[in-house]
Formats: sequence, C-alpha cells, structure tokens
Amino acid sequence: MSIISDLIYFDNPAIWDSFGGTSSGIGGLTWQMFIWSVIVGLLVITWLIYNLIFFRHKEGDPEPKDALKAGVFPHERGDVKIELTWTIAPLILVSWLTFLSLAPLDYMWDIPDNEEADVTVEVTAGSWYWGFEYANDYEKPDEFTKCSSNINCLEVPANSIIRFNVTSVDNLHAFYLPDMGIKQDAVPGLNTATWVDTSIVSARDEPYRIYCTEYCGNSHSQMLAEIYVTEVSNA
Amino acid sequence: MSDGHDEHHAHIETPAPFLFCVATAIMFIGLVMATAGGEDKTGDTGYWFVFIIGLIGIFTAFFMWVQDYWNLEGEEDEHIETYHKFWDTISTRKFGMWIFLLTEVMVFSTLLSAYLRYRASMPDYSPDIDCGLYFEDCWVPAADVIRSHLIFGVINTFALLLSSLTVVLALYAAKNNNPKAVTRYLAVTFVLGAMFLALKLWEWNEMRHYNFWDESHNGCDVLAGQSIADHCIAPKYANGFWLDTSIEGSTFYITTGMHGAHVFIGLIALGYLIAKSNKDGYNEENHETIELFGLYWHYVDLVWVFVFPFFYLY
Amino acid sequence: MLRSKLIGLGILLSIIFAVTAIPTGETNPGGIDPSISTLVEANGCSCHNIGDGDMNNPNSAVILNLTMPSNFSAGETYTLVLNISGGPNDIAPMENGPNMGGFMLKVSTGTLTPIDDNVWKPEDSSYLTHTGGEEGQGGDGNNLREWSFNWTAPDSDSLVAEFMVYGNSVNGNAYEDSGGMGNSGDYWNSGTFLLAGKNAQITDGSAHGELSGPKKVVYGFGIVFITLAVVVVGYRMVDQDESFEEVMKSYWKWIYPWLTTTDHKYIGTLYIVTGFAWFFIGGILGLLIRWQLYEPRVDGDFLTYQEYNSTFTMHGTTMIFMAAMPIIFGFANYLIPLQIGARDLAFPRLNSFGYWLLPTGGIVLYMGYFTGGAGDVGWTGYAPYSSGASATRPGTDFWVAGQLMLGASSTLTAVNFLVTMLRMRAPGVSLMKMPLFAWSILVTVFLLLLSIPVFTVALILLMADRTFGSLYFSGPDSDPILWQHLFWYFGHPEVYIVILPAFGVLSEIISTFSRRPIFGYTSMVYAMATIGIISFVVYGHHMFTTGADPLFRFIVMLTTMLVAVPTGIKIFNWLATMTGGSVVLNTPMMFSLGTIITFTIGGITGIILASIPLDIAFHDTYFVVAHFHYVLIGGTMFSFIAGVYYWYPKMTGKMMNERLGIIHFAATFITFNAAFYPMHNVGISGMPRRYATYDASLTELNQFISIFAILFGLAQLIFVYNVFYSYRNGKEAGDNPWNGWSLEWATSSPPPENSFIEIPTLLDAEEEAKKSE
Repeated sequence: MSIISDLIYFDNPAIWDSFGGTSSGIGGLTWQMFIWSVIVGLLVITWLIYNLIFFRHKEGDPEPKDALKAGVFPHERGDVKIELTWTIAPLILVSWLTFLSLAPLDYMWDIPDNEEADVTVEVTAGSWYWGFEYANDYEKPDEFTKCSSNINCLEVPANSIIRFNVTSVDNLHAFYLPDMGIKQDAVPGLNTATWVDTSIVSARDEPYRIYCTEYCGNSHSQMLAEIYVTEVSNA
Repeated sequence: MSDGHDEHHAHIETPAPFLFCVATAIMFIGLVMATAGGEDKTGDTGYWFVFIIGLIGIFTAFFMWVQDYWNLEGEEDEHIETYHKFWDTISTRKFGMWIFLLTEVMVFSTLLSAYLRYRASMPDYSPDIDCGLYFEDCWVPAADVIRSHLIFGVINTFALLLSSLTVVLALYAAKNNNPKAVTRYLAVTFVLGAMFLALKLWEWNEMRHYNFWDESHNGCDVLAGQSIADHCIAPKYANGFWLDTSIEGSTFYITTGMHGAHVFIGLIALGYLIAKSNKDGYNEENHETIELFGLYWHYVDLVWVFVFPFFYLY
Repeated sequence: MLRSKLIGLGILLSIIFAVTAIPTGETNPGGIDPSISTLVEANGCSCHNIGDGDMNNPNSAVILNLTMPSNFSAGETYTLVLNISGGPNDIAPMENGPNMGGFMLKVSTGTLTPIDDNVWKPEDSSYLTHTGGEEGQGGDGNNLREWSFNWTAPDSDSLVAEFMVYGNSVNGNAYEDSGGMGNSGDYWNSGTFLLAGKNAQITDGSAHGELSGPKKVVYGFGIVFITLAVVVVGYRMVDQDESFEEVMKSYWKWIYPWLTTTDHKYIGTLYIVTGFAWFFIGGILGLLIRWQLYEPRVDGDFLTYQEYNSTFTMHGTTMIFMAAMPIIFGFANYLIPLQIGARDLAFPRLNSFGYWLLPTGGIVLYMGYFTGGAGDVGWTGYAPYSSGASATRPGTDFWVAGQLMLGASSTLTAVNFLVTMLRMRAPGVSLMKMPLFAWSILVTVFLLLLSIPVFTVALILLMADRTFGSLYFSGPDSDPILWQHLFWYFGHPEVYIVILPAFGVLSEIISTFSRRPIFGYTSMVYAMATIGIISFVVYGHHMFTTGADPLFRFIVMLTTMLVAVPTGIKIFNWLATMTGGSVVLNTPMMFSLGTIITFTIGGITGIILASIPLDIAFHDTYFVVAHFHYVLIGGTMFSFIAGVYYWYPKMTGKMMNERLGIIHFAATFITFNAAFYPMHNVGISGMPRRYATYDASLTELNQFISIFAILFGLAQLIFVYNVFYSYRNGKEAGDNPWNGWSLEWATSSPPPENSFIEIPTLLDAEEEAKKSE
C-alpha cells in the first residue's frame, strides 16, 4: 500500500545529501540524526516494555520494602552512579550531534558574495507573489525558455552557485525551496540572503517548487512559484 | 458551602471578582468596537457607551472588593502560620507585593528594551551627519523636543521623589500612633501624584501640538547641519510630535503612558487609603497596608528614575 | 425513573426542534480577493503588466464588456461575448506583430465551454482563458480583443451567476526587449458581471439573513439551551408544583456559590471544567482544519481561506491559553494546598479573580466571530501582518484584548502560587520534601512570572499600533524581528510552562503505580529547575531562518540541544522507578506510559529541529506541527487526562469506570499516533504550515491524517461519558484508593470544607525507620 511506503520512505531535501565533507551520506548529519533517534526511541520503548513484563504487580506479591504510605515522605531512592551515566551519555550524544551540525552549518552559512556567485537573483516577496530579477546585468542564456514572466517563475542554470537576495515589500514571507532544503525569511525592510548550488539537483524540464512558508494572510497557500534548473552550455 | 464551622477558616464568598471580570470584558468589547468596529472597521462610536459602562462596572466591583477591608476594625487577620524558618521573616501580603513588583520589572524592562532597540538602529541626530532631508535617517529624541521646557520634567521628578518620601513619613507616623499625621501625609502624596499626572498630560499636549518650540507656532526652520537646540525642531516633527507620526513618538508616549497609567492606578489605591485613614486611622498595630502601597509607589518612582533620563535627558 | 425518561424525551424534542429552527444558508463564498492579481497568478495567468503597468492595481482605462442574456433558464446553454477596449492596445499601433489582448474568466456557478480555437479551458480547471499565451500552445486567442464562449446554466434558476473577468490590454511591444520580459506597459482591469436566473433576485453585496458559520453554531446552541431550559424548568414547575420564582431561586442558590467562591477546591474544579470545555471547542476548530485539509480545496470550497486562517489562529490560542493552562491551574489550585498541607492559597479572592478572567477573556477573544471574522494572525501573531490593515478587524483586536485579560489572569495566579508554596507549607513539608507535582508548579510559576509580562507588553504595543496608530511594528522603520524576540522570549518558556506540570503529574502517577518512591527525587527537582532556567535562553530556535546574528543562532542551537539532557534524565528516572517496582497497569498508568512514548518521540523530533541545517528545511512545515502536537497532546494532554483519572476519586469521592478508561486510552493512543505521525512525512515532503490547500500528491497522506483526527476527537467522547457516568454511579473511593503518599491522600475524598480538619505534619520515612529501630 502506498500509504505504508509513504510513511516509511521519504525524499530528503537534496541539500542533505550534499552538505559536503563528512556530513553527507552514511555517517553524515542526517543519517546519524536518524539512527540515533531510532536507537534512543527503541531504548525507551524496550525498557518500558521490559518493566511491564518483569515488574508487573500480581495479586499476592509482597509489598516493596519502601512502599508508599499516606502522609509519609518516601525513602530516598536512587543511585548516583546510574544517574550520572544517563546524564553524561546524553550530554555526549547531544554534543556530538551539535558538533556534527557545525560543518553543514558552515556550508550553508558561507553565502557567496554577489560577485562570487554564478548568478545572483533578487527575490522580492509581496502579497501574494514572488518577483525575481537577475542582478549584476546577468545575460539570460538562450536555453532559458521556460519563464514568460518574471513573476512566480525563475530559471537558473544547472551546476552553478546561485545566490538569492531576499526581501519583502510588505509583510513577512519566507522563500522556501522544499526539494532542495533551502529556506530564508523575507523581511520587509531587511535584506537577507541564502544560496544554493544547483548541482545538488538534476536539471530537468519540470520545475522545482517554491513555496511561501511564513504565514502572510489570505492567499498564503497560493503563493507558489516555479524554479527551473536548465542545462546551459558554458557561457 | 460556608457552614459556619470553624469560622476562623471559613471561606469568604464574594461576587466582586466575578463582577470585576465581567465588567472588564464589557469594557474591552466596548473599546475594541469603538476603535475598530463598524462598517468601515475604523470604529463604531456608539460603543463608547459600552466602554463607559464597563469602566463603571470595574469601579463598582473594585468598591465591592474593598468593602470588606473598609469595614474591618483592624487589618485582615494574618492567621496564616508559617512553619518554616526563613520564609517567616516577611508577611504574606508583603511577600506577594514583592513578587508582583518582580513582574512589573519585566513589564518596564520590555518597554525599555523595545525603545533601546529602536534607538540603537539609527544614529542620533547631529549636525555633522547626513540625516536625509526630513531627518528621517536619524533619531531625533524626545529630549530634543522637550529640552527647552525641561523644567516640567524636573518638577515632575521632584514631585514623585517627594511623594515617595511622604509615603515613608506616613508609615512612620502610623508606627508612632499619629493617625492624623498619617492622613495628612497620604493626602500630600496624593496631591503630588496628581500634580505629576496633570503636568504630564499638559506636557503631552504641548508636545503634540508643537507648542514647545516656537512661540509663533510657525513651521520649523532647522535645516540639515544645524543644531536643533538653537532653533525649532526637526522637519519630521513639523506637524507635532505624536505617537503615530514617528517611532520616537511611539516609544516616548507608550512608555511614559504606561508609567502614567501605573501612577493613576496608584492614586486610586491611595484614595482608598486616605478615606480609610480618615475614617478609622492607621496606627502601630495596623499599618501594613500603607507599607504595601509604599512598596508599589516606590517602584513607580524607581521606574520614573529610569524613564526620565532615558527619554528626557538622553 | 419516569422522571429521567421524561427529561430524556424533552431533550430529544428540543434538539429536533432546534435543528429545524436553525436557519440554513450557505456561508458567503470567498468572493474576489482584494489582491486580484495574485489569484490570477496562481491560476496560471500572468497579466502582462510588469514594468509600467502596475501588478497590484487594475487600471480603469481598460474597459471590459460581457454580452449576456437578461436572465437564464435552468440548464440552458448561452453564447456569451467578452470584449475589452481602452488601454494601451487602443493607443499603440500594432507594430511588431499581434498580441493585442488576453483574458481570464471564472464563474460562480454553471459550466464554461470554449467554442473555438481562441479560447481554452486548462486541464483540471474551471476557468477560461485565451490561447496563444503559453509556450508551445497554439491558437490565436491573444491576437484578439473579443472572444466568444459557451456557458451552461446550472440546474436551478433561482441562483445568480457571478462572472469574474480579468482583461489585459497589451501595448503591442510584446517583442521589444526590455530586460528580457517584454510585457512592460500593459494594463489590466477586472470586472464582475451578475446574471440572474429567471426566479432569482440580485441583491447587493451579501444577502441579508445569511449567517456565518460561527454565528449559526452559537445561535443553534442558544436555541437548544433555551429550549432545554424551558423544558426542564417547566417540567419542574409541573412536577414539583413550584412557582417560577421558586424554581429560579433554587437554581440561583445553586449557581451563586459557584460565582462567588474563593475556595481553592471549587475554583480548581471550575478551572478544570472550563479548561476541558474550551479543549473541546479548540478540538472542533482542529477538526475544521483537518476537514479543510482532507483534500486540496479552492477558496470557499469548505472554508474560505480567510476563515481557515482564523480557524488555525483560534485553534492554537484556544488550546494553549484556554485549555492547557486552565487545566494546569485547575489541578494546581485543587492539589497544591492539599499537597503542602495548607488550607487554601495565600490570596483566595485573587484566586477567584484569576479564574473569572478566563471565561470572560475567552468571550472577548471569540467576539471576533461575531464581527466579521476572528483574529487570523496565527497564535504567534507575527508583525507586520498582525499590526497592518490586512489582519481581520476587529477580530484581531479582540484576539489581542482577550489575551491581555488571560495574561493578567496567569500573572496574578502565579503570584498567588509562589507566595503560597513558599510561605504556607505545613510542618514537615520542607522544600525538598514536596511532592514532585508541587515542585513542577513551583518552577512553572517562576517561568510564568518572568515571561508573561513580556508578552503582555508586546500585546499592548501591538494594540497601540492597531488602535492608536503607533509605529512599533507598522511603520517604515519598524522591525518585525522585534516582535519575534518579544513573542518567543515568552513563547518558549510558555511551552515549558505547559509541559513541566505534566512532568509533575507523571512523576506522581508512575511512582504511585509502581508502588515505590520515585527514582532520584533530588535529580528530578534539579532537572526541572534546570529546564526552567535554560528555557529562557533557547527561544531563538524559533527564529533560525530570520537572518539573525549567527553567533546568537549558534548559542541557541547548543542550548536547545542541551535542554534534552535534563529532560532525558527525567524520562530515564521514570523508567527506573518502574524497574524493581510492582507496576499496576490501570488507566492513569497507561496514559502515563503512553505519554512517555509519545513525549519521547516529540523530544527526538525536537532535537532534530534543534540542528540548524535540518531546521532550515523543516521550519514552518508540517514536521514542526507534528513535533509540537506530539509534545503538547502526547505530553501535556495525555498527562492531564491521566491526572483526571488519578485525582477524580479524590475530588469527587467516586471511582471512574476502569473498562471505559482502558478503551478510551487504546482509542486515543492509536488514533493520535495514526493522525499525527504522518505529519512528519508530509512535512519532510515540503508541505508548509498554515496552508489551506496543498500539492495534490500529498492528498492520500492528508486524508489518512484527517480521518484519524476525527476518530481521535470521537474517542474523547468516551472520556466525557465516563466522567459524567462515574459522578453518578461510580464506586465509593475512600481516602486513598491508590495508596499514594502525598498529603492529599491523607484527607477525605472529597476533602472537607476547609481541606484539613487539622493542619497535618508530613512525616519522613527515613526518620520513621530510625524511630522504630
């Protein structure tokens, strides 16, 4: 049944497989987050079920020595060594996961300058549309034929570094490329930036999706746009 | 529910909180509809009537609430025993007041943070920097608007500081069994507080109608590169300094307004204290209410000690 | 017996009467959105007007004309003609080839059909547009200024068909190179044309007598209630031979104590009942959301997109402020004095005041539904949308005002609890001997005191912006990020405020039903305190995509990850409590164990979200919705439902039905996980939050979610039934049916008027053991 497979398998945003360095693929951030989540989850559930099986109350069981009595603060119960273990182990785990996040973070935040990028696109969000302008006098290659207007449609070359300068003309919006895993809030009065290396996705005829993902009013769910990634013979 | 057993510990039954809340809801409904209702969503003026009814209801409920205290000979029995050292060094009501003041600290911290955040976002006006034609790229503080008439702010500061002193004197008089002096000192506090509010409202009005900076109320002649102190006021305040024309105005009026609201509520409480002091008198056995009020009043004063330099001097 | 049958019949009759009496009527359709171009864009027509023409504004120079008959008969087909004139294409000579005009036409009822090559109807759409506009799509439709097409009338001729037309007047320089776009200088306009059926009448604007959905619900309930009241009162007058005044007086005698009580037990009960009532209202709003998302819908299909926005806003605000927090305060109110051995809270009248602000504040909050639309800003109220003109008005103002009252309620209650817990503990109840539920409330109350005032001020600033025109968030120099800082500085501690008491409840229940003390009491206390303190530093994790300072964001990532450590300690300590204990598996225990599982899942997704690179992809998608529902429902709600099962015997003196409880648990646990787990997948696939419709490929998953969400809602009816049924028919509970240790179990069920006959002294097991040696 497709629902079952929908629930188990899912398409990762492209950038997760391409964080670069040791943070992609097996052993990378995404994989480790997933594995450790499963391990911790299974640990908790297994221990829970173990308790239910082996320590279930049955009629005639003797009262525990430190059983509770109303109006009496119970005996101290604990074991410093054990508690220290499950303080330090999670501490190490979360520190490790934080450490793993550093390289991808660095990768994502190392936004290329306007000059370094192959293409710089000025993204302007409004209610409820996306406006795209190529900056730096970018000459549209002949291969770009998909967009008949610069509203809600953007075409970028494959295998290039694209920098997006994002802003808004009125309310908050957010520029979200779900297939690639890129997101940046569009704040009125502020110029924010994000970037993507289009080699993480394949060039194709169908567009990739652009969604607005910061609530902005009535037609928030219709503020969709298309981004085409097109092969360009070296210009 | 109250079956008379153990009267010392019987629970009070009072409709005052319920009525207070209903009245508050009516007040808010009136306020919102009066300012944002109607066909064109800019306000349905008929609802101001509802707003007033709500306010009257709030006052009525307040009077009902304090009626128990009004009729008490002494003060409310501190019949709550404390069984743990350290926590018994302060009375319950005083402790409650201190915690409440802690929340008030958060209130004014937020207001001042918002103000400082905005203030830090642009340079203050100075003749040496380029502030745009209408000085829109620079922060022209309220201090510049008030500078020529700073005396009123100083008077207000004195008034409030003095009123804190008179509250302490009232408390001292109560502890020394001098109920008449208590009433007098409380009354002086009230007058000082009322004077503070009146002066503040007048100040606001003058600032709003650009009366502070040019006798002839002519337009302003300050050009870029000129010092404001010697002339009128910045072009962006050519039509007055109010909360809907600039962020400087918004922060100024909202922050000083919130402070003024706290003074106003203090005066209402003070009114009760004066009436009660006049009727029954406060003495060394029951003066705690004055102390509680004093704590609140000192806090309001302390906030002013921050607000004044932040907005009037800096 | 006869009496209850008659009352039952009366209820049935009144419901039947009310159902027939409720006015029927369609919700007003969404109508044309003010920002017309956007619908047009979304529908695939990009009006050629970038450049000189104005994207957002129609130009009245363009004249649209639709030739149609004077009225229509049902089912008939008519040929209509659309003509545009005026605008650039009348002025500029057609130089570089044709491209004179374009159009897009929709109709509210009936079917449109093209009749020639110049007009086409895109697949899966119901609107018509000109041909020649799309790449590689033939036809000459965009070389014309006049088009003909057919329209088939609907089956009822008492309807009015509304034609919405967008017409584009091209200036003929389509092939001129202007930045590669070539559509500069075109103008567009839109128009509405009404065509009435033979038996219809065109009224202007919204038809009178049509009520909005919420109004219908309230009037419906009002009619049911009044009818019921008439039946019950009338029956009583006849059966007991009482006059109307006598009946009213006896009801007043019953109600008045509830209105005026300052007894913590009664106020606690009021809070719990009110909280659960609003939980159901919020739940219905949630089901409206899920029905809207059952499949992709156009605006107005089930809800208009505007109504949907109000729905999720009110759902969130209701659930947090009117359901979760009141239930927490309710249990705290009832139990804290009992657990610490006090007779009541420190300030009983203030307690009552704190409670009554809740229903009255809630009414203010919901007033928006009667004035054209409730607040639609999301429970987070982000500026500048919330401070601007597009947010519902006065609905959003009511949303702000209601929350001011609720914030005051929480603050004053917090003051009350802090003073009580520090000053009024009975002998023997030192701070490190308080039950863990009491500790959780103590930490919670600290968080409340420091965070709610900040939100209250932010709301006041927002209200000032909306009402008095101040410029905190709505001016050219305003900073939307300031609102986010102020909101989340409160918002993050707020979610810990709702989860920490749940932790407290879990500690109590798991310890009692393992029949042994909690494992590691001291670490549990320190863990809660640590969570409380850290919660103030992590709020930035809601703002990872805003472009805030990188160092700020990094520190937030680190601290957010770290807060998992004390939380993990608590989970492991609960499990260790059971190990070596004697586990009784009844309803409260099952809910607690279920909570451990679902809260762990929610916590794990929280760690995933804490990692910034992953959060960039997940922020504002359904993955976040899944996460917080797992921790809020799976954490807070399940714990407090367990709390109801656990403390119901103490509060009412009756035991709840165990079989119904287990059924309730099974149904709830299964439907909850089935409904909310797939949201993770939907989120990873890219579905954003707060969307009223979505990509068709996700339909199956969304339907699955919606169905189970409805089942989840229905499962809660078992709980409601159990509560009422047990109140009448439950077994006697006795003082301590569960063998708990804390002081509330040392007094009767329900506790006496003044909670304790004598202030108790808490003994200590270690000392008792020493004594008996």
